[in-house]
Amino acid sequence: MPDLTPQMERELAELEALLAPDIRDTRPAPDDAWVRRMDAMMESEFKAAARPRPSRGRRWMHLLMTGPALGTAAAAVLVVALVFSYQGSLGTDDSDDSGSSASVATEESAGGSSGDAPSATAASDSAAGGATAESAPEPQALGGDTPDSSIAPIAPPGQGEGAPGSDGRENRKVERSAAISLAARPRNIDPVARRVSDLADAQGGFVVSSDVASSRSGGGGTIVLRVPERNLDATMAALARLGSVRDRAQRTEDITAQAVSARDRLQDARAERRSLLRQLEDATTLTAASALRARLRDVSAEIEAARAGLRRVNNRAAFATVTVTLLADAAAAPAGEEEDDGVWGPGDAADDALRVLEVIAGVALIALAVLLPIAVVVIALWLAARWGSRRGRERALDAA
Amino acid sequence: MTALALPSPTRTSGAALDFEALYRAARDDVFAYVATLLRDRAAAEDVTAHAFERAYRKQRSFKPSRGSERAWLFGIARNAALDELRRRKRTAALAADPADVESATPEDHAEAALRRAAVRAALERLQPRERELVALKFHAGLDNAEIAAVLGVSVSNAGTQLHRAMTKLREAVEHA
Repeated sequence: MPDLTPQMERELAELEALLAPDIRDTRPAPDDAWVRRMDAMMESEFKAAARPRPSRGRRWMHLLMTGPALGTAAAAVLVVALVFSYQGSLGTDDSDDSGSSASVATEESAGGSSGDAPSATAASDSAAGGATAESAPEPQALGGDTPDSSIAPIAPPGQGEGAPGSDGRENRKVERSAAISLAARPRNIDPVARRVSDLADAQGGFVVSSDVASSRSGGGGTIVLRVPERNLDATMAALARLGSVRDRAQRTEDITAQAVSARDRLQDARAERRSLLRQLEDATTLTAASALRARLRDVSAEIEAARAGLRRVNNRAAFATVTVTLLADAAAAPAGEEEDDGVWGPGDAADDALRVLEVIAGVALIALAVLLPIAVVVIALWLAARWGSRRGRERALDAA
Repeated sequence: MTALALPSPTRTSGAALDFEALYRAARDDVFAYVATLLRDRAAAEDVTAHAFERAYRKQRSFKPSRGSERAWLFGIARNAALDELRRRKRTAALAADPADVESATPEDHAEAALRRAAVRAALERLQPRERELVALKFHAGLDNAEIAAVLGVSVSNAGTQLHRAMTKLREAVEHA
């Protein structure tokens, strides 16, 4: 349809001037009776609409009456949400209280025999200080101090400990080991396991073994680390920040007797070799010399064995074994969060409030995901119905 | 005529509307427009009453930014009239009233009566949309902007359509 040009406007004005009076004369006029009925009906409605509305005071009173009820209802909903949130956070976390307090078992022994020396031979000295997995103390039962069976137990003192053969305080050698049980959300098991390995590297240690599995609903596993003994405390502290600590235990074992025994064996063997060498110099017969040489070979082997034994004992003292048990728990606090001290304070209230907001946001997001497509469909249908209705009306006009 | 029981108006956003004044000013105009559209006085009475009922119920939805009060009211009346036309189309029962919806009075001048009859006949020959435009302009007294708002077209478009309708009307009158 072309726009109205000035020429058309002039023509339209002329047409209107020419035809308007006659067209207006054809204007249908309503019957008087209908007009009276309409007026009466509208009049009554206008009067009804003009009735005084409740005064402002009454409205305030109404608000005051309904406001507290609404506030109470909102508070009740909030409390219910908080309770559910709090219970949800407890969930399977019944061992939190016991887990938060570390059980430390410190045991000392002296004058032990060589009976509890590592049975396996040291495979080789590694770059991380020569410690080997075989030389690490095997986790064994700790006793009643460990409430959760998931924690790797620590071995009790061996035979002969506490014997008077140990050296003075400055020469004492101790072997330290620790175990920690960390809970993390299922999706965080793998990241936590990687951070445990990274932590071992950062502390100058290494991973002895790792057996970790993860899935959407669970997972877990055990990682055994060897870290320099001087870094054990720092390592444990860093590990505790990687997840929610469920259990923690440390064990210290005096292995001075084993070290002394290994050293003595080495010294004895060396002394015997020196003696044999002197005897060999003085030997006058071939038979005697041959026998001395055979004995020297045996003594040299004993020296090597004694050296290896001493090295193993030194490694046990230089490196500590840390057994990290990972547990999947959907309610576990994210890494880096502080452990619950059991006292509900403003910080906890803020945390709970944040959790409630998170839940509300999550529910809102889910609701949005459900409602948005429905809303789009409803709006599309409404627009289509409106378009159809309009089109139907225009068709009816064309057909009139 | 159908008796109406008007509901209380819904209170939504929108400027205050003096509905009573609007009713007083537009009642006959709405009836004339609807009667021209329907060509049925009885139906026009019902449709006009329903249009006012609908407008009264929705008076709070009136927004001055979208046009004048009259344009808003005539938009409602138009929809009501077109709904009536759709119903008629479905039932196909009602025949159109005679074109002479307003009887000539005896005292009318003969020449004026003839001219009026010619205009009525010419109006009958117009397309429904053209007849509607003429009714909005001369029976309802809307200006081009209000007609545009009622029909949902631009003011220029409304003027162009009106120009075309008036031209056809003049030709029809001349050939009558």
